[in-house]
Amino acid sequence: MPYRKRVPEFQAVIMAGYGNGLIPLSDEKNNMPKALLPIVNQPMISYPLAWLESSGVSDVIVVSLASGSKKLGHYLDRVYEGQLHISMEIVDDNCGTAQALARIKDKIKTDFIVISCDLLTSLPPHQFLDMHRSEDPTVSALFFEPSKSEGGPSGSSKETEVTQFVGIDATNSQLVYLNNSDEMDTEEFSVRVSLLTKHPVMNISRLLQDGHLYIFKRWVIDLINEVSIKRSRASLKEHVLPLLVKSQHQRVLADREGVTKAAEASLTANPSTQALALSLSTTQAPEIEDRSENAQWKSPVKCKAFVVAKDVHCGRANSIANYFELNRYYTKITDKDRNPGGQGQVGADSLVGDDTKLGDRTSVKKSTLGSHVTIGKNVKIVNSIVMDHVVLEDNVKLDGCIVCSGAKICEKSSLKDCEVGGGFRVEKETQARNERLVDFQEQ
Amino acid sequence: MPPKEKVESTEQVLQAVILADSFDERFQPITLETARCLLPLCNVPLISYTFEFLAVAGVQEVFVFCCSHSDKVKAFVKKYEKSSNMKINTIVSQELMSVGDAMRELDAKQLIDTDFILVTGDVVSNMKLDQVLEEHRARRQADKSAIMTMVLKKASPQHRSRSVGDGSLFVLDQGSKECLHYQPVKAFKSTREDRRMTMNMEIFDKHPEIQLRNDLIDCQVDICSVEVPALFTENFDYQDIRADFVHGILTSDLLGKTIHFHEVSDVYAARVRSTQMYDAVSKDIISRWTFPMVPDSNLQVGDCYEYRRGLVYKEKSVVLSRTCVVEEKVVIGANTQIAERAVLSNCVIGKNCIIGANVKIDNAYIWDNVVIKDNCVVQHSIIANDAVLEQGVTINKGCLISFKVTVGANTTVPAYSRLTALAEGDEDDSDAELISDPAVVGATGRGRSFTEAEGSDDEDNEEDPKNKQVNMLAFDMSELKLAAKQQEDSASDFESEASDLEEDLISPEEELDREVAATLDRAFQDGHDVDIAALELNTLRMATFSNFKEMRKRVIPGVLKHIDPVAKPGSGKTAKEILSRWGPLVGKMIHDEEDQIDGAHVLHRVCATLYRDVLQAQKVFAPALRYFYDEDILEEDAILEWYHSEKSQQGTDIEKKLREVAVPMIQYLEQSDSEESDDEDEEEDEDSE
Repeated sequence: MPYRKRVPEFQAVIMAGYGNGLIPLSDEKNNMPKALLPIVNQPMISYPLAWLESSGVSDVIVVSLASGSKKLGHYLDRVYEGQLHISMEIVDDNCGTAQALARIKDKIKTDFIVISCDLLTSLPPHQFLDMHRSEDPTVSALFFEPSKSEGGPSGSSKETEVTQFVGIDATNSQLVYLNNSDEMDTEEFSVRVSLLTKHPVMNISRLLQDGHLYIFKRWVIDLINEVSIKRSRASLKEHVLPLLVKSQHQRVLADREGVTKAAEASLTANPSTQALALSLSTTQAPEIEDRSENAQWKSPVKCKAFVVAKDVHCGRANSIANYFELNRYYTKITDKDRNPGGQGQVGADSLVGDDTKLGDRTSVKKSTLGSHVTIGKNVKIVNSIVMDHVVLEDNVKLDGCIVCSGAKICEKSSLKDCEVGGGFRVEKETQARNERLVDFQEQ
Repeated sequence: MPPKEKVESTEQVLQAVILADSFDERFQPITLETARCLLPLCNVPLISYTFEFLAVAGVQEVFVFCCSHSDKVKAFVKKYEKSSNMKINTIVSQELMSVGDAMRELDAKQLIDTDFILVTGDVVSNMKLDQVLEEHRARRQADKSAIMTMVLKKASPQHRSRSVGDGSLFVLDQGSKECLHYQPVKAFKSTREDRRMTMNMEIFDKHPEIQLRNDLIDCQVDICSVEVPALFTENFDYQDIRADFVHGILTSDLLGKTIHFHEVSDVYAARVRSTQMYDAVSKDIISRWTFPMVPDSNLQVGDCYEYRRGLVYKEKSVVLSRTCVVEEKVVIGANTQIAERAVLSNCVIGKNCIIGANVKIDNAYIWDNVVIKDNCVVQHSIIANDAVLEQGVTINKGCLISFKVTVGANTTVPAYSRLTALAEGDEDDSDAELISDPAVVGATGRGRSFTEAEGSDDEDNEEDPKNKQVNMLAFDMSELKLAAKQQEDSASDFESEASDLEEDLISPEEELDREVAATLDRAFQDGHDVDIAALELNTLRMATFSNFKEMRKRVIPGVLKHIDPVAKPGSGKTAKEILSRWGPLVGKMIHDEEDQIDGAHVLHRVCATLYRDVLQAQKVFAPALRYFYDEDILEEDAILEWYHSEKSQQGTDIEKKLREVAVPMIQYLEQSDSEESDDEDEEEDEDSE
């Protein structure tokens, strides 16, 4: 058999951002970059990596910001044990997602998957990929309905999240409308009637969230490049995707923003297999080619939305509340055989990492403890995440807290709904509630 | 017929209300002489279909509201009741002008004491209502505020039984089956409001997931609770059940009522709202979509149709000649005679008609007792009872030939004509003599062409006439598109994406540009007062959050534009004439000294750009400056300030040349200025002395 190089169907790009929503956890100096924050004692990025591996994709580019690249690089080089062929690209710290992609555009050779390092889902990859394969859209995007929070730290930073209005054609799951509430009239919601003529049954939801998992056609990278030249800090979610969605209906916009040009260039370079097959077919249906101006304009863009079924778990660890929620969810479903026995009591829905010692009369409920955690006597941990190498002295009470690695909480402290930064030392007998305990930093 | 066992003392009597009047004039002139609900549809009066539909739904008592031609409706109902086991009451009121009036009347008479079915007298449907009734009742038990359930049929947006001009958009919550928003859709969307579906953002607070629907046929079959008529009484301005009532209830915070929907998909439901729908529904009946309501089920007593191959329905007593051709989809009523070589296709022919030799009838609806003599051609039209077409008449598409019209031999009736044999003027006035119009009906004809305005104080005056047109019989969309293009009308064609888009891309500044220009044009054309124009501009300024500076930038060129530098005096277009008329308007945009300086700059710049060459510009600029100075709109300090400012000294050649024009004036001003100050000095000197 002659050797033939296998042409991969998709390339994947993992976007490892800074994690603005996860400050102070994602602070590189004291703790670790967002991609490495543990969820059930596994770095966050290992979940999308595993998802990609099971999808059959082999080439993965991890795009990291310069600030977190060192630790992430170390993890990917030395610690990661999967089968994926991973290369890492480092981009400037204040670079939008579209810009980051534009930087690596020469490395994109095929249709590509873009996934965020904070996406955790139990959705079997083939469901999403198969939709893309069968429908052959310009972009497929994943949307999910976030599960209801069971309470916990909402993150002391209560950012009002921007809600998105997502409109999907109910008959063919085409993504036809996308708008952020901050760009909209607060009084009125309005849609063009002509859009409704094309898509007579349209579901509009305010609950759906963008999963930041996309599959793009190869030519979109050229468009991304153009968008990122036009505006600084261009983002996929806020600029590229809405542009594509609008280009499905607005000819002038598509022409002006170069969408049409990019699409046509790719079409002439490599015509779609389907068109090729049709042209060779002897039973081809006679196609009436109407090239006149009045002929209905056919957009070169087609956007598809995949909405994750309600019983499939999907979540993004892009805020402290969501991070907490995901941790709790994954703790529930993880195997807990390895939990140590001993004097302390570990609840059924908790997880304790390796080499973690529990002192006498210590109880752990609904919590995740990392490795090498030292815990004193009579410590109560409820609803909390404790990362590696944390020291909890005697009589400490934690409720709804996240304690970053290397932190030390001295005796008799009682914290509720707090975040403790990496390496921070909480003095003894501290009483705190809803606080963010971190080293003062000069920004 | 409703099953007998349903009539039980324990169960409430199911009531229905039929609004027999349509409250519009789409079938005129035919409806001048008979009621809309009695028009024959496939040779059966329209309202029979509605009765049948209600009977199948198990309705036991029906109230028929009628207004025009109530005696005819009453007589028909009386006859019909005998063969039906529903109790049918006719309520006549001459004052009814709208659905709202009928509902108020219903409330006033207190005839209804339970949930009822509200339909119009032109519904053709074969759906069963038990499920929706059940749903409605269950919902009412759980929640008293659910006052109405609309029955909506799923179809595609371009479905033929979906009337083009009467589309509607619904916003629904599929979970709670609630209707959240309603908006009618016009065929021609001339304004921005027409082109967009706009709803209140608050809807999302309660219903985060909604569905926008543009594929529903709304045949106005509603299950209403007793509150509905009462609400009409409370809100005495409600006229239409959809545009006013549903919209009003859904947008009102105070009422707190909800309206639900029930979606059906596998049944037939349509309303004969227009001649175009008359055509569509007739075809549906012939094609048996409305089964069991088809001609051969003989809804009318005495009918005896048989169903033949090729969707042909024929009474036994029909006389077909040997060589006539009856093609597909034809209904022929009793005792009709068809002569040799006549060709019939896609048509309905009533009772006792005589069709001559060589006649071609296609797509037409010919009612009872019509005589069509030899060699006539009838296309896509409606011909009412007792009409006569003499030999060789051609009826083009889209015509309505009313009762007893005679069209003389060899006449060609143009497309979309409406002919009546009623005398002009009041329809009740029997003394008036009919004056036939030989140009329309031929020398021996009887009848005249009917014009819309007569006998109707038209309330939809403001409606786009094109939106009326689309409802017409045999209306061809492509024709209209062409016409619209020729007119270059602002009302863009059907789905014009580009124009939709433009409106999104327009920046507020461009918008202001356009609005100011439009306001000024109006003022110039209609010869408004300066005060009125100023008021309009001020309103515009406030509406767009703009300031006087922006307004000046637009108003000054707007005024100067009308000056024709080469015009002769007396033409009304010279600088002097225009300025003396409209100059004060500029004055209204200038208040303090800063404004004046800015105004001078704008004037300078505008003159430099507005005219073709320097000479023309100078011809306008000099008198304009002079005028503004004389009228104290620009005071001398401001003009001097402008002249000496660096900004005015720079700029293009034209601008520089224009500045030179001002030199004599500046000199004059400076002189007078110094004189004044000299005077003052002198005075002071005097004082000091």
